[in-house]
Amino acid sequence: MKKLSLIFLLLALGVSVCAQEIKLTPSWSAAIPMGETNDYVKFTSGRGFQFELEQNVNPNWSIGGIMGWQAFFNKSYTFYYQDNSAISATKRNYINSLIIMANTKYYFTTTASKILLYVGADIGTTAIENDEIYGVYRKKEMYWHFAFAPVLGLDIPISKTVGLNMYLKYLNSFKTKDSIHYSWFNTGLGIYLRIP
Amino acid sequence: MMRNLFVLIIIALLFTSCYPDAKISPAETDTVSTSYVRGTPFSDFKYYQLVDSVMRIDNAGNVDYEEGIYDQLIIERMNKNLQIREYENVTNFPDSTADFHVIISDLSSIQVSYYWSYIPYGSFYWGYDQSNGFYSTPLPNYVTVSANSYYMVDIIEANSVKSSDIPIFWRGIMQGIYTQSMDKRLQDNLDIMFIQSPYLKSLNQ
Repeated sequence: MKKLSLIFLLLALGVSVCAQEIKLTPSWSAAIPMGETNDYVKFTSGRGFQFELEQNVNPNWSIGGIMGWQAFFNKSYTFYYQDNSAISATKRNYINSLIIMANTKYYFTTTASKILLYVGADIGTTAIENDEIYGVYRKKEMYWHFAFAPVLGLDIPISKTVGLNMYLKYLNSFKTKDSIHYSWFNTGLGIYLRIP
Repeated sequence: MMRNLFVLIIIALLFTSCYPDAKISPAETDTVSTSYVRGTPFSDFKYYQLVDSVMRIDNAGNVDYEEGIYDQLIIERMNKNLQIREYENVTNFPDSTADFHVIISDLSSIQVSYYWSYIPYGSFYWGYDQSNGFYSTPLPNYVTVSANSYYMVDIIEANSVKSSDIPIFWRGIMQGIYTQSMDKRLQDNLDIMFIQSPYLKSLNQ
Protein backbone atom coordinates (compact mmCIF):
# COMPACT_ATOMS: atom_id res chain seq x y z
CA MET A 1 0.00 0.00 0.00
CA LYS A 2 2.91 2.32 0.79
CA LYS A 3 4.31 1.58 -2.63
CA LEU A 4 1.00 2.49 -4.24
CA SER A 5 0.77 5.78 -2.37
CA LEU A 6 4.30 6.66 -3.41
CA ILE A 7 3.56 5.94 -7.06
CA PHE A 8 0.41 8.07 -7.02
CA LEU A 9 2.31 10.88 -5.31
CA LEU A 10 5.00 10.73 -7.98
CA LEU A 11 2.37 10.78 -10.70
CA ALA A 12 0.63 13.76 -9.15
CA LEU A 13 3.91 15.62 -8.77
CA GLY A 14 4.84 14.78 -12.34
CA VAL A 15 1.63 16.26 -13.67
CA SER A 16 1.76 19.40 -11.56
CA VAL A 17 5.41 20.21 -12.25
CA CYS A 18 4.52 23.05 -14.58
CA ALA A 19 1.51 24.45 -16.31
CA GLN A 20 2.22 23.02 -19.74
CA GLU A 21 -0.21 20.80 -21.62
CA ILE A 22 -0.43 17.15 -20.70
CA LYS A 23 -0.77 14.17 -22.99
CA LEU A 24 -3.25 11.40 -22.24
CA THR A 25 -2.66 8.15 -24.13
CA PRO A 26 -4.90 5.12 -23.90
CA SER A 27 -3.29 2.16 -25.67
CA TRP A 28 -4.14 -1.36 -26.60
CA SER A 29 -1.36 -3.63 -25.48
CA ALA A 30 -0.21 -7.09 -26.60
CA ALA A 31 2.39 -9.14 -24.77
CA ILE A 32 4.65 -12.11 -25.46
CA PRO A 33 5.47 -14.05 -22.27
CA MET A 34 9.20 -14.49 -21.68
CA GLY A 35 11.43 -16.35 -19.24
CA GLU A 36 9.72 -18.05 -16.31
CA THR A 37 6.35 -16.57 -17.33
CA ASN A 38 6.59 -18.93 -20.27
CA ASP A 39 6.37 -21.88 -17.86
CA TYR A 40 2.79 -20.86 -17.12
CA VAL A 41 1.51 -19.23 -20.29
CA LYS A 42 2.91 -19.79 -23.74
CA PHE A 43 0.63 -17.75 -25.95
CA THR A 44 0.85 -14.11 -26.93
CA SER A 45 -1.81 -12.10 -25.18
CA GLY A 46 -3.81 -9.41 -26.89
CA ARG A 47 -5.77 -8.71 -23.74
CA GLY A 48 -4.21 -5.62 -22.30
CA PHE A 49 -4.38 -1.87 -22.14
CA GLN A 50 -2.58 1.02 -20.58
CA PHE A 51 -3.36 4.63 -19.79
CA GLU A 52 -0.49 7.03 -19.82
CA LEU A 53 -0.35 10.58 -18.56
CA GLU A 54 2.67 12.53 -19.71
CA GLN A 55 4.07 16.02 -19.51
CA ASN A 56 7.10 17.52 -21.20
CA VAL A 57 9.65 19.17 -18.95
CA ASN A 58 11.52 20.41 -22.03
CA PRO A 59 11.22 19.69 -25.78
CA ASN A 60 13.16 16.44 -25.39
CA TRP A 61 12.29 15.11 -21.94
CA SER A 62 8.98 14.07 -20.50
CA ILE A 63 7.82 12.56 -17.24
CA GLY A 64 4.58 10.84 -16.46
CA GLY A 65 2.81 7.80 -15.19
CA ILE A 66 1.20 4.65 -16.46
CA MET A 67 -1.61 2.50 -15.25
CA GLY A 68 -2.19 -0.68 -17.20
CA TRP A 69 -3.55 -4.17 -17.27
CA GLN A 70 -2.28 -7.23 -19.02
CA ALA A 71 -3.94 -10.63 -18.91
CA PHE A 72 -2.67 -13.99 -20.11
CA PHE A 73 -4.52 -17.25 -20.55
CA ASN A 74 -3.30 -20.71 -21.40
CA LYS A 75 -5.12 -24.03 -21.56
CA SER A 76 -3.58 -27.39 -22.40
CA TYR A 77 -3.82 -31.03 -21.42
CA THR A 78 -0.65 -31.63 -19.46
CA PHE A 79 1.16 -34.72 -18.17
CA TYR A 80 3.55 -34.55 -15.21
CA TYR A 81 5.88 -37.40 -14.37
CA GLN A 82 7.73 -37.75 -11.10
CA ASP A 83 9.60 -40.83 -9.91
CA ASN A 84 7.15 -43.73 -10.21
CA SER A 85 3.98 -41.70 -10.59
CA ALA A 86 2.24 -39.60 -13.20
CA ILE A 87 -0.68 -37.22 -13.27
CA SER A 88 -2.54 -35.63 -16.14
CA ALA A 89 -5.36 -33.13 -16.48
CA THR A 90 -6.41 -30.02 -18.31
CA LYS A 91 -4.23 -27.21 -17.06
CA ARG A 92 -5.53 -23.66 -17.12
CA ASN A 93 -3.43 -20.68 -16.26
CA TYR A 94 -4.75 -17.18 -15.80
CA ILE A 95 -2.24 -14.42 -15.18
CA ASN A 96 -3.59 -10.95 -14.48
CA SER A 97 -1.28 -8.04 -13.89
CA LEU A 98 -2.03 -4.55 -12.74
CA ILE A 99 0.75 -2.18 -13.78
CA ILE A 100 1.38 1.13 -11.98
CA MET A 101 4.55 2.91 -13.04
CA ALA A 102 6.21 6.27 -13.32
CA ASN A 103 8.02 6.91 -16.56
CA THR A 104 10.37 9.20 -18.37
CA LYS A 105 11.02 9.54 -22.06
CA TYR A 106 13.64 11.15 -24.22
CA TYR A 107 12.41 12.32 -27.64
CA PHE A 108 14.85 12.58 -30.52
CA THR A 109 13.63 15.74 -32.18
CA THR A 110 14.52 16.53 -35.77
CA THR A 111 13.42 19.22 -38.18
CA ALA A 112 13.16 16.72 -41.03
CA SER A 113 10.20 14.73 -39.73
CA LYS A 114 7.21 15.23 -37.47
CA ILE A 115 7.48 11.62 -36.34
CA LEU A 116 9.46 11.38 -33.14
CA LEU A 117 11.47 8.42 -31.96
CA TYR A 118 11.79 8.07 -28.22
CA VAL A 119 13.49 5.91 -25.64
CA GLY A 120 12.25 5.69 -22.10
CA ALA A 121 12.11 3.84 -18.86
CA ASP A 122 9.17 2.79 -16.70
CA ILE A 123 9.69 2.11 -13.02
CA GLY A 124 7.08 1.14 -10.48
CA THR A 125 5.13 -1.83 -9.30
CA THR A 126 3.01 -4.63 -10.67
CA ALA A 127 0.42 -6.74 -8.86
CA ILE A 128 0.40 -10.15 -10.49
CA GLU A 129 -2.21 -12.79 -9.82
CA ASN A 130 -1.38 -16.25 -11.09
CA ASP A 131 -4.32 -18.64 -10.97
CA GLU A 132 -3.49 -22.20 -11.90
CA ILE A 133 -6.24 -24.79 -12.23
CA TYR A 134 -5.20 -28.38 -12.79
CA GLY A 135 -8.11 -30.80 -13.09
CA VAL A 136 -9.82 -30.78 -9.70
CA TYR A 137 -6.97 -28.90 -8.05
CA ARG A 138 -6.24 -25.21 -7.88
CA LYS A 139 -3.39 -22.95 -6.80
CA LYS A 140 -3.72 -19.19 -6.71
CA GLU A 141 -1.22 -16.52 -5.73
CA MET A 142 -1.07 -12.75 -5.86
CA TYR A 143 2.05 -10.72 -5.16
CA TRP A 144 3.29 -7.19 -5.64
CA HIS A 145 6.56 -6.88 -7.55
CA PHE A 146 9.08 -4.14 -8.13
CA ALA A 147 8.96 -3.52 -11.87
CA PHE A 148 11.12 -1.92 -14.53
CA ALA A 149 10.77 -1.65 -18.29
CA PRO A 150 13.00 -0.11 -20.95
CA VAL A 151 10.89 1.43 -23.69
CA LEU A 152 11.34 2.26 -27.36
CA GLY A 153 8.59 4.08 -29.19
CA LEU A 154 7.30 6.34 -31.92
CA ASP A 155 5.19 9.45 -31.55
CA ILE A 156 3.22 10.15 -34.72
CA PRO A 157 1.30 13.44 -34.61
CA ILE A 158 -1.95 13.49 -36.61
CA SER A 159 -3.08 17.00 -35.71
CA LYS A 160 -2.13 19.61 -33.14
CA THR A 161 -3.98 17.79 -30.37
CA VAL A 162 -4.15 14.15 -31.49
CA GLY A 163 -1.55 11.60 -32.47
CA LEU A 164 -0.53 7.98 -32.41
CA ASN A 165 1.84 6.35 -29.99
CA MET A 166 3.53 3.03 -30.75
CA TYR A 167 5.83 1.37 -28.29
CA LEU A 168 7.84 -1.72 -27.54
CA LYS A 169 8.90 -2.46 -23.98
CA TYR A 170 10.31 -5.32 -21.98
CA LEU A 171 8.47 -5.38 -18.69
CA ASN A 172 10.25 -7.05 -15.79
CA SER A 173 8.41 -7.79 -12.55
CA PHE A 174 11.25 -8.89 -10.35
CA LYS A 175 11.28 -12.01 -8.21
CA THR A 176 9.91 -11.81 -4.71
CA LYS A 177 10.46 -14.18 -1.83
CA ASP A 178 7.44 -16.27 -2.80
CA SER A 179 7.05 -15.58 -6.47
CA ILE A 180 8.95 -15.87 -9.71
CA HIS A 181 10.36 -13.16 -11.97
CA TYR A 182 7.60 -12.40 -14.47
CA SER A 183 8.58 -10.78 -17.75
CA TRP A 184 7.07 -10.12 -21.13
CA PHE A 185 7.59 -8.14 -24.30
CA ASN A 186 4.93 -5.53 -24.58
CA THR A 187 3.93 -3.83 -27.76
CA GLY A 188 1.19 -1.30 -27.91
CA LEU A 189 -0.65 1.11 -30.10
CA GLY A 190 -2.39 4.13 -28.65
CA ILE A 191 -3.99 7.36 -29.61
CA TYR A 192 -3.12 10.41 -27.58
CA LEU A 193 -4.88 13.62 -26.81
CA ARG A 194 -3.07 16.78 -25.79
CA ILE A 195 -4.97 18.54 -23.02
CA PRO A 196 -4.05 22.21 -22.54
CA MET B 1 -15.82 14.36 -32.71
CA MET B 2 -12.26 13.44 -31.88
CA ARG B 3 -13.03 13.45 -28.16
CA ASN B 4 -15.99 11.07 -28.69
CA LEU B 5 -13.75 8.74 -30.62
CA PHE B 6 -11.28 8.96 -27.77
CA VAL B 7 -13.93 7.89 -25.22
CA LEU B 8 -14.96 4.98 -27.47
CA ILE B 9 -11.36 3.81 -27.65
CA ILE B 10 -11.09 3.88 -23.86
CA ILE B 11 -14.28 1.78 -23.48
CA ALA B 12 -13.03 -0.69 -26.09
CA LEU B 13 -9.75 -1.07 -24.24
CA LEU B 14 -11.53 -1.95 -21.03
CA PHE B 15 -13.08 -4.96 -22.75
CA THR B 16 -9.78 -6.32 -24.02
CA SER B 17 -8.98 -8.01 -20.74
CA CYS B 18 -12.03 -10.29 -20.84
CA TYR B 19 -11.12 -13.96 -21.13
CA PRO B 20 -12.47 -16.20 -23.83
CA ASP B 21 -13.29 -19.72 -22.71
CA ALA B 22 -13.41 -18.65 -19.07
CA LYS B 23 -15.89 -21.30 -17.93
CA ILE B 24 -14.60 -24.71 -16.96
CA SER B 25 -16.54 -27.67 -18.29
CA PRO B 26 -16.94 -30.71 -16.02
CA ALA B 27 -14.78 -32.76 -18.41
CA GLU B 28 -11.94 -30.28 -17.88
CA THR B 29 -11.86 -31.17 -14.21
CA ASP B 30 -10.96 -34.79 -15.04
CA THR B 31 -7.71 -35.73 -13.38
CA VAL B 32 -5.91 -39.02 -13.97
CA SER B 33 -3.09 -40.20 -11.75
CA THR B 34 -1.12 -43.42 -11.82
CA SER B 35 1.71 -44.94 -9.84
CA TYR B 36 3.54 -48.25 -9.80
CA VAL B 37 5.96 -50.23 -7.69
CA ARG B 38 9.47 -50.15 -9.10
CA GLY B 39 10.85 -53.49 -10.19
CA THR B 40 7.47 -55.01 -11.02
CA PRO B 41 8.02 -57.23 -14.11
CA PHE B 42 5.00 -55.96 -16.05
CA SER B 43 6.47 -57.14 -19.36
CA ASP B 44 6.80 -60.71 -18.01
CA PHE B 45 3.15 -60.80 -16.98
CA LYS B 46 0.75 -62.42 -19.41
CA TYR B 47 -2.44 -63.61 -17.71
CA TYR B 48 -4.85 -61.63 -15.61
CA GLN B 49 -8.19 -61.97 -13.89
CA LEU B 50 -10.60 -59.06 -13.84
CA VAL B 51 -13.40 -58.49 -11.36
CA ASP B 52 -16.96 -58.74 -12.68
CA SER B 53 -18.25 -55.93 -10.47
CA VAL B 54 -17.05 -52.64 -9.03
CA MET B 55 -16.45 -52.40 -5.31
CA ARG B 56 -18.13 -49.38 -3.64
CA ILE B 57 -16.64 -47.90 -0.50
CA ASP B 58 -18.40 -45.22 1.55
CA ASN B 59 -17.27 -42.76 4.19
CA ALA B 60 -17.75 -45.28 6.97
CA GLY B 61 -15.58 -47.82 5.17
CA ASN B 62 -18.53 -50.02 4.25
CA VAL B 63 -18.11 -52.03 1.06
CA ASP B 64 -20.87 -53.15 -1.28
CA TYR B 65 -21.13 -54.43 -4.82
CA GLU B 66 -24.45 -52.94 -5.87
CA GLU B 67 -24.14 -52.41 -9.61
CA GLY B 68 -23.69 -48.84 -10.85
CA ILE B 69 -24.63 -47.63 -14.32
CA TYR B 70 -21.01 -47.29 -15.48
CA ASP B 71 -19.62 -50.48 -13.96
CA GLN B 72 -19.79 -52.67 -17.05
CA LEU B 73 -18.47 -49.87 -19.23
CA ILE B 74 -15.44 -49.45 -16.97
CA ILE B 75 -14.79 -53.18 -16.75
CA GLU B 76 -15.04 -53.61 -20.53
CA ARG B 77 -12.75 -50.66 -21.19
CA MET B 78 -10.20 -51.96 -18.72
CA ASN B 79 -10.36 -55.34 -20.40
CA LYS B 80 -9.85 -53.78 -23.81
CA ASN B 81 -6.86 -51.74 -22.70
CA LEU B 82 -5.18 -54.78 -21.18
CA GLN B 83 -5.87 -56.99 -24.18
CA ILE B 84 -4.47 -54.57 -26.76
CA ARG B 85 -1.31 -54.69 -24.68
CA GLU B 86 -1.21 -58.47 -25.13
CA TYR B 87 -2.36 -59.42 -21.66
CA GLU B 88 -4.80 -62.33 -21.67
CA ASN B 89 -7.93 -62.52 -19.58
CA VAL B 90 -8.12 -65.86 -17.73
CA THR B 91 -11.00 -64.95 -15.44
CA ASN B 92 -12.76 -68.26 -16.19
CA PHE B 93 -9.69 -70.33 -15.33
CA PRO B 94 -8.39 -71.25 -11.86
CA ASP B 95 -6.87 -68.38 -9.86
CA SER B 96 -3.42 -69.93 -10.00
CA THR B 97 -3.15 -69.34 -13.75
CA ALA B 98 -3.19 -65.53 -13.42
CA ASP B 99 -0.11 -63.36 -13.03
CA PHE B 100 -2.14 -60.47 -11.65
CA HIS B 101 -5.64 -59.49 -10.65
CA VAL B 102 -7.43 -56.27 -11.50
CA ILE B 103 -9.88 -54.75 -9.05
CA ILE B 104 -11.93 -51.59 -9.51
CA SER B 105 -13.23 -49.43 -6.67
CA ASP B 106 -15.69 -46.55 -6.67
CA LEU B 107 -14.87 -44.02 -3.96
CA SER B 108 -17.15 -41.29 -5.29
CA SER B 109 -19.29 -41.20 -2.18
CA ILE B 110 -16.21 -40.53 -0.05
CA GLN B 111 -15.06 -37.74 -2.30
CA VAL B 112 -18.29 -35.76 -1.93
CA SER B 113 -17.37 -34.69 1.57
CA TYR B 114 -13.78 -34.02 0.57
CA TYR B 115 -14.95 -31.93 -2.29
CA TRP B 116 -17.09 -29.52 -0.37
CA SER B 117 -14.51 -29.05 2.32
CA TYR B 118 -11.15 -28.47 0.75
CA ILE B 119 -8.55 -31.18 0.36
CA PRO B 120 -6.10 -30.59 3.22
CA TYR B 121 -3.44 -28.05 2.41
CA GLY B 122 -0.30 -29.68 1.12
CA SER B 123 -1.97 -32.95 0.29
CA PHE B 124 -1.10 -32.82 -3.37
CA TYR B 125 2.31 -32.29 -4.90
CA TRP B 126 3.74 -32.63 -8.33
CA GLY B 127 7.11 -31.06 -7.95
CA TYR B 128 9.34 -29.09 -5.68
CA ASP B 129 8.52 -25.74 -7.24
CA GLN B 130 4.84 -26.13 -6.65
CA SER B 131 5.00 -27.83 -3.30
CA ASN B 132 2.89 -25.31 -1.47
CA GLY B 133 -0.31 -27.23 -1.94
CA PHE B 134 -3.34 -27.42 -4.11
CA TYR B 135 -6.97 -27.27 -3.25
CA SER B 136 -10.20 -28.14 -5.00
CA THR B 137 -11.64 -25.91 -7.67
CA PRO B 138 -14.94 -24.22 -6.95
CA LEU B 139 -17.78 -25.76 -8.89
CA PRO B 140 -18.60 -24.29 -12.28
CA ASN B 141 -21.90 -22.55 -11.73
CA TYR B 142 -23.83 -24.37 -14.43
CA VAL B 143 -23.25 -27.92 -13.19
CA THR B 144 -26.49 -29.32 -11.85
CA VAL B 145 -25.18 -32.64 -10.54
CA SER B 146 -22.23 -31.67 -8.47
CA ALA B 147 -20.69 -34.69 -6.79
CA ASN B 148 -17.21 -35.84 -7.62
CA SER B 149 -16.61 -39.03 -9.57
CA TYR B 150 -13.70 -41.03 -8.17
CA TYR B 151 -12.67 -44.47 -9.45
CA MET B 152 -9.59 -46.41 -8.46
CA VAL B 153 -8.16 -49.30 -10.49
CA ASP B 154 -5.58 -51.59 -8.91
CA ILE B 155 -3.35 -54.23 -10.43
CA ILE B 156 -2.51 -56.53 -7.55
CA GLU B 157 -0.55 -59.68 -6.96
CA ALA B 158 -2.56 -62.76 -7.99
CA ASN B 159 -1.36 -65.32 -5.55
CA SER B 160 -0.81 -63.43 -2.36
CA VAL B 161 -0.31 -65.56 0.75
CA LYS B 162 -2.04 -63.07 3.05
CA SER B 163 -5.43 -61.91 1.75
CA SER B 164 -5.47 -58.92 4.13
CA ASP B 165 -2.21 -57.43 2.87
CA ILE B 166 -2.15 -57.87 -0.89
CA PRO B 167 0.73 -56.14 -2.69
CA ILE B 168 -0.41 -53.55 -5.22
CA PHE B 169 1.76 -53.33 -8.37
CA TRP B 170 -0.03 -50.46 -10.06
CA ARG B 171 -2.79 -48.02 -9.16
CA GLY B 172 -4.76 -45.70 -11.41
CA ILE B 173 -7.15 -43.04 -10.13
CA MET B 174 -9.55 -40.99 -12.20
CA GLN B 175 -11.62 -38.20 -10.74
CA GLY B 176 -13.69 -35.28 -11.93
CA ILE B 177 -16.94 -33.45 -11.44
CA TYR B 178 -19.87 -35.79 -11.94
CA THR B 179 -22.33 -35.14 -14.75
CA GLN B 180 -25.32 -37.04 -16.08
CA SER B 181 -23.40 -38.60 -18.95
CA MET B 182 -20.00 -39.88 -17.92
CA ASP B 183 -19.52 -42.64 -20.55
CA LYS B 184 -17.01 -41.00 -22.81
CA ARG B 185 -15.13 -39.28 -20.00
CA LEU B 186 -14.65 -42.50 -18.09
CA GLN B 187 -13.52 -44.36 -21.20
CA ASP B 188 -11.09 -41.58 -22.13
CA ASN B 189 -9.70 -41.39 -18.61
CA LEU B 190 -9.13 -45.14 -18.50
CA ASP B 191 -7.27 -44.89 -21.82
CA ILE B 192 -5.14 -42.05 -20.42
CA MET B 193 -4.22 -44.22 -17.41
CA PHE B 194 -2.55 -46.60 -19.83
CA ILE B 195 -1.06 -43.88 -22.03
CA GLN B 196 0.77 -42.42 -19.04
CA SER B 197 1.91 -45.90 -17.92
CA PRO B 198 3.98 -47.10 -20.87
CA TYR B 199 5.88 -49.54 -18.63
CA LEU B 200 2.79 -51.78 -18.47
CA LYS B 201 3.42 -52.97 -22.05
CA SER B 202 3.61 -51.25 -25.38
CA LEU B 203 0.55 -51.18 -27.59
CA ASN B 204 -0.05 -54.16 -29.86
CA GLN B 205 -0.77 -52.07 -32.93
